[in-house]
Amino acid sequence: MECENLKKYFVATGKGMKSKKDVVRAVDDISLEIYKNETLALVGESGCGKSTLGRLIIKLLDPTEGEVYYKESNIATLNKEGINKFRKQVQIIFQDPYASLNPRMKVVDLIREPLRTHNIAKKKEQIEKVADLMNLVGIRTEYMTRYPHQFSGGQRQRIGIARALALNPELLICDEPVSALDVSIQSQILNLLKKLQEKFNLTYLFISHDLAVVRYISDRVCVMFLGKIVEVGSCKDLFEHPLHPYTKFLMSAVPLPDPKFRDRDRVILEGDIPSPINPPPGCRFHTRCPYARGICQQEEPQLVELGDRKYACHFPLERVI
Amino acid sequence: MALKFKLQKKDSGMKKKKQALKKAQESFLQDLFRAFRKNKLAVLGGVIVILFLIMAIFAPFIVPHDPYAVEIDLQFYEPSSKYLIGTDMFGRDILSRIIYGSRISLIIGLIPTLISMIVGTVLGMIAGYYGGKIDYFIMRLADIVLAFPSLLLSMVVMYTLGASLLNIFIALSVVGWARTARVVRSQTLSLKEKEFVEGARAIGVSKQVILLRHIFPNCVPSLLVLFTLGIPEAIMSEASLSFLGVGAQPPTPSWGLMVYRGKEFIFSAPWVAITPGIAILIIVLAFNFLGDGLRDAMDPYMKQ
Amino acid sequence: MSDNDVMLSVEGLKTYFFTDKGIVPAVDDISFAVGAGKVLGIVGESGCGKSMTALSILRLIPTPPGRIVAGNILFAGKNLLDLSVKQMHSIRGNEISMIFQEPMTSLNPVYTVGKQVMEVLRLHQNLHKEAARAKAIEMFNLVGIPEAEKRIDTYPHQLSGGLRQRVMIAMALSCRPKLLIADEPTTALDVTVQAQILRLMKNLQDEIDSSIILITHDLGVIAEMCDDVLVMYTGRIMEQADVYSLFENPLHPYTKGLLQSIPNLHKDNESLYNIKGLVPNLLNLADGCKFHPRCEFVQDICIEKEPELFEVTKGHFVRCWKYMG
Repeated sequence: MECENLKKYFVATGKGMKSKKDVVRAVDDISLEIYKNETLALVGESGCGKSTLGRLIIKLLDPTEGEVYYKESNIATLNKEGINKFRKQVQIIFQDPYASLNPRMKVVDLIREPLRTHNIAKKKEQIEKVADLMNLVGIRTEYMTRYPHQFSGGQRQRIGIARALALNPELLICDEPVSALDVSIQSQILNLLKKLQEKFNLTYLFISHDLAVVRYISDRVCVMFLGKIVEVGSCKDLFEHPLHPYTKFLMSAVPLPDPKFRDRDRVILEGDIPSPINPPPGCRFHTRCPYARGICQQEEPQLVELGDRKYACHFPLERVI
Repeated sequence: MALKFKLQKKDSGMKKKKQALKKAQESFLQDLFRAFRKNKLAVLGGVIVILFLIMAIFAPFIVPHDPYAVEIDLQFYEPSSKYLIGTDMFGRDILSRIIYGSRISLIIGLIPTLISMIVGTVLGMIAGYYGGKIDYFIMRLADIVLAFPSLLLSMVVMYTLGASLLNIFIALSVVGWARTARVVRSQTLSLKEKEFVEGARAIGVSKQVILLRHIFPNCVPSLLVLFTLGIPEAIMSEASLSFLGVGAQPPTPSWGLMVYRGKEFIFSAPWVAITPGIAILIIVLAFNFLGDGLRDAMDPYMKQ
Repeated sequence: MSDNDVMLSVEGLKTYFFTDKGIVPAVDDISFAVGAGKVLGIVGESGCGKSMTALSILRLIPTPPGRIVAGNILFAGKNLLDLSVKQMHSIRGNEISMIFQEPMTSLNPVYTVGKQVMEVLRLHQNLHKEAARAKAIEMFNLVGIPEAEKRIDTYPHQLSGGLRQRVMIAMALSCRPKLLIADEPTTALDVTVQAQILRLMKNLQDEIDSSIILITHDLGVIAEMCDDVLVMYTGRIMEQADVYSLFENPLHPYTKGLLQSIPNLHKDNESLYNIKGLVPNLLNLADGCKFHPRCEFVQDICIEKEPELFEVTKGHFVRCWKYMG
């Protein structure tokens, strides 16, 4: 999977008398690759475009500019058959386990829907497959005929995962799959995702704002800020030696579950995340960056490659070797 | 050995599955019923509506007299043991006519409402889901319909097409679809943004199937409420049209027409006009209570 | 803790909800005290009763179906449960105030934020309009809202989530309350903004010298902010200790499990610990210890009888049979 210079602009039209057009650059010129069998995490705060990017990759949205390639074919130019095949191989799991399952459908129909849509096997075999999937994600098969509201958030998320796995996909987009869950349930789902990845050789694009979760699950991490990639690198390397100041501050903002670290040296970023409607010129992070200098306000840093790392900063943090 | 064990397991699984199915369905209806039962007025409404249905269906078996039999001798007979609520200007038994009239009201209440619900739902879902020009066209049409005073609009239709039962259906459907379309469109708009619809698209489910399988079932509760509230409105409209002389034609025992024909004798023989009026009042109130109760009972379920 | 240091003490509080499906014991016999100038954290998963405890203190439980069925809430020498509705009004927002999770829904969208802060001031402090405005601007400056004089005339939707939460804090602190209850104050915010808000709360607490009850599901926030901690589960206190003992030496299997379930940001995590099972439904609680269906160390007695809170070391209480006697 590969995307090139992907851009998605949303045009927000003011309704009524004063119709003024604002362009929201939700995803602005992003290129990245997802390799087979890896977990690539997209990390960033709200409004950084990580969810939009996920939806562009799975073709729930069409890009304003740029292309997405899946196994070397451009998904924008696929014919009907190609799209069908693509839909089978790439699936998505959503954040909100309450909104992502149709409340009027029974679990069996929810999980069976992908099989039904692609006419895979007969009804009886489909139901058997549903039972297998339910066992796989840890939902008792007696619950097949229940409705989603009879389940807790974690169980619903399991149902969502079963549904996504029904077509034996290769790539799974996980859009904040655990952020709505309780802590004890969160770790269950994370472990389930890890187990499934091993078992089915899945590739994950894991979208999250929770850095600790990302550290646990991913192989590579891509940090986004206001529609741009600021840093990419392997999980361990990136967390231990961040190159971009934003990555560092993001990490230092996370409250650690140990009061001994309470008085650790931390930098708390000032100000709010700028609006993606009118991003600051130059480096988009310069308004909040304590290291910003003159050039940061004028020139936008390009994504630079450094070994297996990439970063977009004029003054990257020293790398301790 | 292992296979056998697996088979057995599946068997008991199937049994459990069946039980679970029963339970799942029960619990939804039970929830609804429990919430509904708490609302005394709604229960009263429901009981009256059921009695009304029985009355309409078994009308020929329960009427004491022939509702069409003209007996000039018996003109304006006062309520008595033989004619419980008296007779009209042609000496016809009013009770029997009211019982027969319930059939007209039932048909008028059900059929045009059903037609306008179907038309409104289809148009509303299309407008909401596809958006763009289709949406604009359908919704402006609905605006135009809603901008007319509905009684006036149906009178226009009745005058042009002539007064008959079939034309009442058409007139009421023409007026009724717009409101349903609006409600369904706004629901569709919010539903299509929901993640489960996005999820269905990601699986590759076609637009038509999404509308049918994902959007429509989630509109059903509000449609049900619209339906129960639409019935009394249709009954009222029919009564109004008949009262104005463009609805049902004599000698059809329509309640509205009975009020209309009886109004001349309101002082000399008040029962002729008042009793069918009371019948209209009761049935309209009963349906409204039922509809409100259903809506309230459905609401917390939707919130879950 | 001597008696004059205690700001608020809750004794045997029980808040039940009487629903169609049965009685939901949202808060079941909990007792705790908040020291003056201290931060008490209440941590737990959804449905553990942490928010209901807060609402009970302010007597904001929706009635019906909810009702406080037993207990005392002692605040400044008064039992809040004995006060009249009117007396309670004069305490809420004045001596005890609350911050909610979602500032967008707790602010009225049709009034400017300044007006809403001023309303609190005028209500509780009898300030006239100009004085209230001046005070509101002062509060906005205090909570770090830039361009306070301009921002005071904006509507809630014109502000970012972080600024809205600052407005809520300004409103809550405007009458210098003795006790601030913050219910998941940073859950809806981004991490960098969360860090700002937490730091702000800490600084303001030193300045105003109020006590705080901080309700959250995030053990990180607890570790960062609190002096004492209650771990709640199914409406009960499972473990109660000062923050250092709790994190260094968690006793209850539930607390231990929770701590081990969070991935560590600064370490490679091979495999994450799982607490098995689901967060229980309060309508359908297990007999005995309410945690036993999910507990690794379950013994016979756990299934039969519910443990009380045992004091293991001074000030460290745990509701688990392992620590009996």
